[in-house]
Amino acid sequence: MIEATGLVKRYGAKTAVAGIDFEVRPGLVTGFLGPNGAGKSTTMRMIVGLDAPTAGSVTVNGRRYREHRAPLHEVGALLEAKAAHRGRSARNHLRVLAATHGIPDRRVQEVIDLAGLHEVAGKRVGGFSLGMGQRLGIAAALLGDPATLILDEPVNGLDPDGVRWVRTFVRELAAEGRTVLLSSHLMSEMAQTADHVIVLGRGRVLADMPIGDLIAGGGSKVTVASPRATELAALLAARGATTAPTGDGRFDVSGLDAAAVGDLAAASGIALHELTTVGSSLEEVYMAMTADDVEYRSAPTGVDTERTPA
Amino acid sequence: MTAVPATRPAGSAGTAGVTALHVLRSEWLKLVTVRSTFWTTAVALLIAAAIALLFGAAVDPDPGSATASALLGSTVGLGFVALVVGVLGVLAIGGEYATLQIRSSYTAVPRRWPALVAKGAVVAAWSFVVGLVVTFGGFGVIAGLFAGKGVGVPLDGEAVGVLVGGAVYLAVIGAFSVGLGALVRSSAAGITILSAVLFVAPVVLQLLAVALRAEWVGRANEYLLSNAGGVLFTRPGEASVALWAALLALACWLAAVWVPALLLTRGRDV
Repeated sequence: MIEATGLVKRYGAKTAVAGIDFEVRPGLVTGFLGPNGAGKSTTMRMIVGLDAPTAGSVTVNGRRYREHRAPLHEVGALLEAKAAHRGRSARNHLRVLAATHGIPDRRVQEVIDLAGLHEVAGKRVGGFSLGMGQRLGIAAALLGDPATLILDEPVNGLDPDGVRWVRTFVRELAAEGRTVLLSSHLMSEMAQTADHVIVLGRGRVLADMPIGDLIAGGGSKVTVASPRATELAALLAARGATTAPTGDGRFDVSGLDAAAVGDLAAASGIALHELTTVGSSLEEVYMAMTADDVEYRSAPTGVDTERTPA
Repeated sequence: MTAVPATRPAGSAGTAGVTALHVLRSEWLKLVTVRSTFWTTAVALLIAAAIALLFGAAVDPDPGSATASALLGSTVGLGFVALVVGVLGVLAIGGEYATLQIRSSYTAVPRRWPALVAKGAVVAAWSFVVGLVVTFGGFGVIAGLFAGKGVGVPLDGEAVGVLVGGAVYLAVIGAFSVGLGALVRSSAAGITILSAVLFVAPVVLQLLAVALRAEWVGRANEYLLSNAGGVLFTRPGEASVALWAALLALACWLAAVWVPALLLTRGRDV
């Protein structure tokens, strides 16, 4: 269980986290979403005491992280791939961390096997790829067999096998009753992994709800194909629905469900070639929600408006 | 990642948590699992061995002062050895900041100061042992070479005091450099400041004392880190400053880096 109350972090004049409250409950995978600069990593760093909050507090299992006698048994954190001395081998890096809690070498070997590091355990971390660094970070997070896991972009740099492993693994950890807080930029990955999501934008909580509710809140639409599309669209519009051509001869209808569209078409003797209900994806809901909160916006692709003179 | 079960048999990772002994063991492991510890130590021992061999071969000992001569030869290189030991100490903490290891370290020991103090203790102990090898080894080499010239070199209690004093000086430098590295959080800055304190400051004060014709500047010079440290491996009658005063000065040098380092480390974002 992680509880944040009025959590604020400012770096000089810049506010990274602007007073947020949330709870991360055990037995669920909670996804942390938000654009770059939304405050996800800063919040995660404050949870484990690497950054000091400017105001407010965050506790893990009822206490501030720093006050735990055996913090690695409470929380396992992956905040950065390769937060390890480049000159030390992976095994020795884990032994060094294990030693602070008297965790035996047997457990070090277990997490090496668990994270699939056995072939490179004796190699120096400096030569690791990003993916290997992630696996080392995950191994380190698991050392103390903690009840709470905080994973910042854990699948970043992993191969498809590794991505699937992380997904299955965090689901298992949550099923065991552990608390899992996970951030990812991969919406499809998050949709498959998280039970609950907290969306941050510009340091504030934009949404904090079960992932199903979030997606349902995005509404659904009906895609229709008909040889008399223009005629049907006009009829639908007369009933208060909004229609939008999809560009391939079909059109999307919102405001009426599939049954209403089908009945109307039948009553008017218009043939339908397709009638499909399409739910919003997490990505669509997320994009709509954070549209105003993106700090580092990409230029629209293919548009060359901001070229500066060389 | 392979299909190893996610969970482990209960109890294989449950422990008493962070204790002084655990943190010391962790810092010891850190010290002996990076290469920089071994190459700095090798350089320190090579410098000491070269000086002892050259000294023992070049000097024609006077039978009446053979011990004094051998003591000089076995401690004359400590200034350079101190710099190398200091580099080891600065790298021990500066390397953590450079590689982000510090984030892992402070996640495991979130109160931070125990990890820092343990690192200082471990580096000081390592430096002390290096110092014993340097001074007693150097003395042995020189005594052996003198014996080849037909002059015996008795090792009396006072001589043992000087040799142990040299090792204590290196322990102080080891501890100082860890505190300095923790304060500036950078290996490059730490090594630069350490060199300035050990080698530049004494020259500057000496020149100032002459230029200003100020006796107090010359006296202040005697309390610099290197000069106060030198008292530890000088025979009591020959030192310009009393041993207790030198020890007090060294304690102040340690406090000058360690007090701010410990106060600042607690609240700094890493």
